[in-house]
Amino acid sequence: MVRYIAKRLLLIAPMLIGISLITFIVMHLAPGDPTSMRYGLNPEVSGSARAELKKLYDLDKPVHIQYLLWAKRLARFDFGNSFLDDRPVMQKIVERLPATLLLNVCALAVILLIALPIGVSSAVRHGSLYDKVMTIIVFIGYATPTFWFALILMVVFGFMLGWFPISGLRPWYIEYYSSGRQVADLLWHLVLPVVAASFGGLAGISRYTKSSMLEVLRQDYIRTARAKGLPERKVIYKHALRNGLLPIVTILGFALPGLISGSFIFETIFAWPGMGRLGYEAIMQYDYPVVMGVGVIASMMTLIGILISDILYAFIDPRIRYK
Amino acid sequence: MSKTLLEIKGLKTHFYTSRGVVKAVDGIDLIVKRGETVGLVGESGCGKTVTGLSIIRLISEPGRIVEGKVIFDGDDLLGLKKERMRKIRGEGIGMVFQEPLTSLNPVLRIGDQLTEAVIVHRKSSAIEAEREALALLDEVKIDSPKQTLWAYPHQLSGGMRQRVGIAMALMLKPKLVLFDEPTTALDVTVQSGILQLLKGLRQKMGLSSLFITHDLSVAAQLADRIVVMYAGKVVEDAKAGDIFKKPRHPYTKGLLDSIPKREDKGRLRSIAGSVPDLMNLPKGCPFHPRCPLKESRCEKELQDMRRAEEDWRVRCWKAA
Repeated sequence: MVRYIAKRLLLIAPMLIGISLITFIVMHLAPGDPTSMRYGLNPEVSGSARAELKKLYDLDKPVHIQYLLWAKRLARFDFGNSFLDDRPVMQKIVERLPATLLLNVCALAVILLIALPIGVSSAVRHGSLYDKVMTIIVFIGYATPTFWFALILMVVFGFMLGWFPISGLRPWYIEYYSSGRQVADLLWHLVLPVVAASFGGLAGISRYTKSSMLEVLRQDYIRTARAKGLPERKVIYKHALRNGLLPIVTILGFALPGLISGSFIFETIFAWPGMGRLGYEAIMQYDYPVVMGVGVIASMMTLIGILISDILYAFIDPRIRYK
Repeated sequence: MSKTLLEIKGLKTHFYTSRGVVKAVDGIDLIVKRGETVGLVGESGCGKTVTGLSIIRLISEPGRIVEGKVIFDGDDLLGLKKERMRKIRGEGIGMVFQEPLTSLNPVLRIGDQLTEAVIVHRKSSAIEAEREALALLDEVKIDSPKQTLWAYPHQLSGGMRQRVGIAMALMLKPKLVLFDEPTTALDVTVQSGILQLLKGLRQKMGLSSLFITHDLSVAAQLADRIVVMYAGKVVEDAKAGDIFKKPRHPYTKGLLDSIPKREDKGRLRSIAGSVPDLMNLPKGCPFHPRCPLKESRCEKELQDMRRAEEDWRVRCWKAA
């Protein structure tokens, strides 16, 4: 078990290098650079001033040298400073990270709480009317573009009905509330973004749960469990579910990057003060250090998520634990 | 108490597939007396396993028990409510399956899988159930019962797993045990060990059992009575001693001849042809295309089971 985890941990380093390298190259391949954004179209800025600015940010050096310089700083946990306001990238991310984590953890919890029971009950009642209705709902969910769904949510529940706030997390007036009301206000702001962020995953995970459970229910050991005279409830929740969850745990590990990259979209739509929006704005402004910082932290989160799912997998499957 | 423990009357189990109806079990009769071991024998696909599963009503879609009676200890199991049937499974009838690996749950400890039935059926405490499991593991000749309780199925060898499977079926001391090819998936040496064990258990516990196998030589070692099935029907039913001496149905004879013997000097004998498609059975006697004794009426009419002798029934025009 310890070796299993150690091996997974060791794999993280090369993956992180690969991810950062690709991010770095892709970003530099995009036409334009930080100087063109602010000064390129400004006739008052001379070419030599631009060149000097480029030199200041090492932008005149070849891309691979730039990458190595960046990596050298990163080795000392120095993400550099933002081109825009010269504040440390780390500080900017730390400010934004809690909001992103809050959104993603809530979305993941909602997905699991709803998708797993839907999947299990559809598998148990395979072919019934309930199963068919669920299948239709799930397919609609799967086919709906999430950004569009988010906008519809805003229009219907934010504008027309006015039940939920359409943007932000902590409005300015929150400091005047009691702590209990602050929490309530926070939850109130969370509703629409969490619904939007969990919607797509809901469909996928419930589908996977169903097909995995169907597969498991056909297995010989389920017949053995029934032959022992166990009640159906025990057969499903004790014998079938633990086996049926195995593939779901793996898929969850891979669903995490989806959620985090989804954050870029939802946080922008809902004006959510999270890391995703920070990254999006940085990309639009060629703020290389911030883009790289957000990229590294997001991939770290993803890799840690996959690590957790690997550990969970071993936890439920003794065949992996005792190798 | 009547002598008969299990009586199957005219049982039909059909599978409704998209290609047509498969009559896996098509009107079989069978009796298991108390303390008796009945060997249910036939080639793969003749409906032996489906018969076993029909008894405890574990036929899954698209299969359905169409008609017949399964009278166990005075009750017709096919008419029982689900909850009563659940109590019969495990408590009244235990079952041992063919594949010892796939029929154990890979993610649960052996101890858990052994004790759960006792805990559910008898509301025993976990400690009590564990004590019973240890005693039974000892009974099925597992060397280190304590470690085995904590092990997962993949940590045991094939023979050990099947011993666990047998212990699992015996946990609630059922009146009848269904063995569905319990030795087929095992090596020959392991197989003989398991057969020895079953012989011992039978004497010690006075087990009544239905032993399903395609291997007549295995059935010969255990069964008091042999029931031969072909294409969903019983073709011969007689005492083991009699049938091995003088098989009456040409199919039984063919099966017996196919057991390799020393006199054969390495030549393998087999029954010509192959098992018919259950969806497309030949008219008349389903065995006639492969039968060395066939005559014209075999192609038109199927003989009923008839008495050939005291306690000996056979389904063939030619068998006297």
